[in-house]
Amino acid sequence: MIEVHGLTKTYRGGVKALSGIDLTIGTGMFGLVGPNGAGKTTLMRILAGLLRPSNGAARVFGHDLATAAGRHDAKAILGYLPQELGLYPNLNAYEFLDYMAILKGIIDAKERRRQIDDLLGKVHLTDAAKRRLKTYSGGMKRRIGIAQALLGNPKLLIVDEPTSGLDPEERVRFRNLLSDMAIDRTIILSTHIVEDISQSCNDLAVMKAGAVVFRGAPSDLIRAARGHVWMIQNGATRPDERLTIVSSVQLASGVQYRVMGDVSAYPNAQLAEPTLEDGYLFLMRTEAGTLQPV
Amino acid sequence: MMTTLSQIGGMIRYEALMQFRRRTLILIAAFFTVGMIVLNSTLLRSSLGVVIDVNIDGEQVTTITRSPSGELLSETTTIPAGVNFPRWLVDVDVEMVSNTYALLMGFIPGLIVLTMACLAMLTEIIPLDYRFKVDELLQAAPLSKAAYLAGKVLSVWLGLTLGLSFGAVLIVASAWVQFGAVDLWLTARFWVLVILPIAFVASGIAVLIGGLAKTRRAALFIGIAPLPVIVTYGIFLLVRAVMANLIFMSPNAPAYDSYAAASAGLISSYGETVLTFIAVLVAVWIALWGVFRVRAA
Repeated sequence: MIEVHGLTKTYRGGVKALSGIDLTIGTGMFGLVGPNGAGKTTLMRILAGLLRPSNGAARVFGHDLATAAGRHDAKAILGYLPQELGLYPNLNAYEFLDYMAILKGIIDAKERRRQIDDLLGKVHLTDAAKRRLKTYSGGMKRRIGIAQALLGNPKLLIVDEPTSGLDPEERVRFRNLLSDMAIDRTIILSTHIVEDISQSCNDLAVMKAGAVVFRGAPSDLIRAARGHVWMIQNGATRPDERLTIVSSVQLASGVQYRVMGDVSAYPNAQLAEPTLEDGYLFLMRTEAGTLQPV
Repeated sequence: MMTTLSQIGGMIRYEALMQFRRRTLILIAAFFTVGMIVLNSTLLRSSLGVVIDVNIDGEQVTTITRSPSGELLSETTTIPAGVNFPRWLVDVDVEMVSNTYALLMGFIPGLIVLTMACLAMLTEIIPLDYRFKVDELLQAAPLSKAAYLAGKVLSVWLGLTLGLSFGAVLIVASAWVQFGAVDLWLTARFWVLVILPIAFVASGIAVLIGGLAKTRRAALFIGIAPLPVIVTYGIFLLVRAVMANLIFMSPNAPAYDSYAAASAGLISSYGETVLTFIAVLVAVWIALWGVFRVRAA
């Protein structure tokens, strides 16, 4: 259980990254979405014990992050995959994972070997385990990052943009891996890829400008957009600028647009069933005041 | 406690492995070893003869010296009043003592160069974590700042110990071939009590002050900046330790009554200097630990 109350973070220079966040996160997959600069990474770095908040309180499985002992204990049950993942280029995958396992406090060498072999299998890198990391592709490095985050069977897993750099097959595999692991632990998944959230999270928060602007189930966010998403076909001309274009598809008869907004000028507009991405965009536009609910 | 020791042990093992693969420590040890062998084979033997025997008759001293060309020269002098002549020389193998002191004297410029190499090349150890972007992973682990710094410094020490020890064998073997027999016990003590501590202190300071920088370039600058102080201090060490011990017939030379006492005196005069370096290392360690804690806040 993660509990956050009135969390504020102001960086030197006065940039306010978080302004009074209140959140309670239970077991399972928790999605965190929002535009760049929303404060997602700052929130996750505070929960990982890497940053200290300016104000407010945060507890991770009962460990108070305001104290050094609390942060140390919280880190002992944490798996963390940062957005900008780096690896030691002169180590091979096995050596790197062994090093990370030691730093995570897994003292027993046999247990480390067992976990590493298991995780290398899960991320499909067993055959490349003895290759230096500097020879790895971007996707392989990402998978090693995922494996190191899972070392020590952490109760809390914080993953920031985990699927960036992965091909579609790897993304699906990774989502499934996270879903399997979410049964008895908390996983906080921050991503720009809304599809990753819709496929794996039963609980999510949307952040904007340092605040939580939505908290609930993905279905609630989808429901909010219901009745506002339309399909229109508009020949070669782009639709009215007041409409928010979600996507466009080139057809033989013209271009088909998926839009949000007032479509009264388009008699052939057809109501569409919203997706989570539609719900997210609807929320962002509503928050920005550029789209009024019809 | 067990976990912390295991973490430090893991850091030593893997950091030393990475340093070995980056060749940094190999370069430092090889540079020092080759430099010392070249120095021994050229400068010292070309300019110094070897005293191979000493006889004392009252205040008259007769020394027999072998010149660099192999010619034996006999010289009789009167001990000046107030000069502490090392009378213990008559009871020992003078040639071996002379060879040994020549070897140890050669280490002094070598140590200054070693210190400079450590400061210039080892300041990057902590900034490399930023360059490789593994700093967040390390910070997210339950690893204390003190254990992190200890792991970094001890890994360098392990690498330097292995590299310099291998170099020591080569240097002494080379000296044995070029000079003749040397006192292995005194050389070993000098190695353990003088050379390794100075290498440890220089490398420890280099690693720690390098932690102030977040890029290799800034770290290199931080490492090079104190070099004038180090060189000046090295020259002071040379004057203090060598002049007082190796120029036997000097009014300021300690009046030792045995070779063992003279050897111990040589080591201890270096030791006092090393102690001041160690004090600086401890101060830098505490300061850096504090800086990292403030940064984490």
